[in-house]
Amino acid sequence: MIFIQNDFKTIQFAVYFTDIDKESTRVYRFLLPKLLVAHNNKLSSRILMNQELENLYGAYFSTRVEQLGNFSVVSIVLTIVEPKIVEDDALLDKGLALLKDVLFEHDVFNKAIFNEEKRMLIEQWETLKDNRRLYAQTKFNEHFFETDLAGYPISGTLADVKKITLEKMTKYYKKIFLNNAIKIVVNGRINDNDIKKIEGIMTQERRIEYPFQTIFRDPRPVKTIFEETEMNQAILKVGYHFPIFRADPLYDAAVILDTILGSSPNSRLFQEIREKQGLCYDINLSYDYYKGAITITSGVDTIHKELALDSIQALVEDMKKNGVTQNELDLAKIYYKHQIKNSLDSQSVLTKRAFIRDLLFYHESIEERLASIDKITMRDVNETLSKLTLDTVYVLFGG
Amino acid sequence: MIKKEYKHLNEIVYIMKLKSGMEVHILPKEDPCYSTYVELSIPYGSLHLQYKVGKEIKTTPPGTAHFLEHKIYAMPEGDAFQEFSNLGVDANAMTSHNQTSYLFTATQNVIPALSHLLRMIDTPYFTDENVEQEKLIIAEELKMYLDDPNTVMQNRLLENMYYVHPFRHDIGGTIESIQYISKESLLDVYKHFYNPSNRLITIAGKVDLDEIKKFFKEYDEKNPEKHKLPKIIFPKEPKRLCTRNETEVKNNGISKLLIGIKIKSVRQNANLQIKREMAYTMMLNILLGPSSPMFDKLLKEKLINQSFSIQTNFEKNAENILIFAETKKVYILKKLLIHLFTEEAHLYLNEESFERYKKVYLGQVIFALNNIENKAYLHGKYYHMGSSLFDVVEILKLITFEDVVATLESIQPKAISTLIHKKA
Repeated sequence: MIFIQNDFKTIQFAVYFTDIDKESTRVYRFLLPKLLVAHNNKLSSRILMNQELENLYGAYFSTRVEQLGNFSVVSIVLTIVEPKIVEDDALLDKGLALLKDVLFEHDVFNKAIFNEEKRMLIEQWETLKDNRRLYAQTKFNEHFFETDLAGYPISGTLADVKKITLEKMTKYYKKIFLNNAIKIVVNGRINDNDIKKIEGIMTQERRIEYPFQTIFRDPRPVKTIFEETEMNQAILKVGYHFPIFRADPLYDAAVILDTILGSSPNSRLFQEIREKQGLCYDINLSYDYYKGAITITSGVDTIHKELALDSIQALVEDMKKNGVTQNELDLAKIYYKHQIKNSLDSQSVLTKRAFIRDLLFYHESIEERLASIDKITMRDVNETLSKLTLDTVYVLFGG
Repeated sequence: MIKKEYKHLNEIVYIMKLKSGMEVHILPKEDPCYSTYVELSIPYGSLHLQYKVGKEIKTTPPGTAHFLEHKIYAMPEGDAFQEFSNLGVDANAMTSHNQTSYLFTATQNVIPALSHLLRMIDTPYFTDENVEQEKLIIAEELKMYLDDPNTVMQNRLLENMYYVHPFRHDIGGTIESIQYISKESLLDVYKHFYNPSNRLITIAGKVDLDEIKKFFKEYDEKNPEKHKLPKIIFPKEPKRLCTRNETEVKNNGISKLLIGIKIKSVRQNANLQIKREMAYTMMLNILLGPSSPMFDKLLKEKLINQSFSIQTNFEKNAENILIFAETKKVYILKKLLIHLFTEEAHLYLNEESFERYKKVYLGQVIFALNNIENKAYLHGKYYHMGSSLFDVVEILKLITFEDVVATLESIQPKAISTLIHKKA
């Protein structure tokens, strides 16, 4: 169990369930947290559960499932206000008891709640095309990752959702989920007595037995897909194969490249495509360091889609050919270090960071991390550029 | 420098009042804290389309405040964003109905970034060329929103609810309306609204009080003039709706319903208005919040999904409630919700729920104070309203169950507008 003692005005209890990621379990892991936080043995309906949370000064659960390399991580986080501010000495105990019941006390799931969650997930699929950006992201993932698990929907497919039954879900929860690796992080103003109390109640921790892996297929010939629909803009997604992962020595240099290319207002893509050419309002880049991929996304006028695609690709090629400048490197280092320090003021980031460090055995201190960023050279960044290979171009556009 | 302490919330605010009328509010956070969050806010937003200077009434196109927010980053030497990046800080801006905010987060170079922010605001640089270039960028932003069916619905419903009030326009305006914006109109707005007298600067997080005090003392010496804010003119909005009901057939995955309730505005002081707004949102939570029997019923009868949402707006002469849902039974849901508000609501309001929600609202204030950015933004918002974020807890204590029940009186059947996007 990890305790982070500080002076935030809320206390977070985060519980992480980790298992090997599989296609067949995605739908279970997506739906299950929603069921868990909707009710439990004592609070058997949504109304009772929500009333209890309201009584705890609007305490709330946030749930998430994500893929980290070959792991699937379900997080369930309960956030309560700091008891002293509301002068309620029993708040911590009540919050803890609720969390324990939500996670572990489910003899049976309420059938009506299960059916509601299932229906809502089906409707989410049925309305996917209404949200053009999400639809484009989903289709891009399918094409980019193809048979890789990263291309499989995190919520399972529509067919998976339709097939799931209450019995199968109950069996999954009891036989598999409760036997997942479990890690608990508590973050907030807690004293040593609180720690003893929490350790006495939350006794379920265990480590994952499998090694962490980050792998992706080799580069392939460029795949280009244009899909027409009813819309005003064209959404461009340009995917690059970029096999540099979180634990690689070149990781920090890869983040520097990401900053220079497209993740800051000073970036080449923002300055060239938006500010100089006026082709778009938004252009951004995301670097998936667990998958080894970079995706550039932008929304442009439909008639300018080819021009924007050409400009983006030409810009990246130019950068690959000529490298980055010393000034760009210096500014990107400042920006990157600022991002790291700034993130330390977020309670949620601190909570998640503590879990990831524990899961992946990262022990580097902030000071060491900042010092290692200072040591990045132009050669390092240019080496990362050599690993950037255009892979998939997906365009969703209006007619 | 005035020091105000809010012991129950463990918060301190230092206030500097400059000769020009500009105020600097500092909300320090004790170590460990790495970031300083700075927000310069101006009480000029998307609703301020008409203003009076002397005897002259000036009218600007919808989207002007948002356009000016974009264009203020233009500097003679280039894009101001670049200098923020060079200093290693994150800069951003936003336009709401009532204010425009320019902000940055720094973990170093706070004073140089503050100096750059003020120089940017004090250096309007509008040219025909850069205004035309910005029209292309903003047009793409507006088109992006037009590809979101929910935004399209909301824009349409507000047009159905309001005849003349600027609330009927999207904050960004339309692709057509921004074509009427010129460097001259931007400069005129700038001159009247962006002078130092009207600004609030909120600084939260890691702060060096002496350094900040010295900086603003020097700034004050150079910019001591006081300016009066022009009078904002809101056209007289009829109580009735333009269109009661509208149905369109759309190529969507599911039918969508948007209900708008036009509420009669009340003119009163800021704290009473905040209390009134809280009473409305409590009423809505008790009726349709996640612990309400009606919410449970709607879920059980498959009438709503996770997209169900309620929004309230309390702008001058434009107060409303908007309820959005995606549903396969759109007419049944519409009937049920209208029946709830016009016939049954008083049956569902109860003191037990009211007491629970008082606790929830106290919790929400604390949650908001937990995040530096959120705290600074809300502090500025309440300041421009004429109140204080830290007074909200006291205002909350004054709300009675009767206040909540009284909100129902302002909901009239003839003031409910509905828009349905029926699945083709």
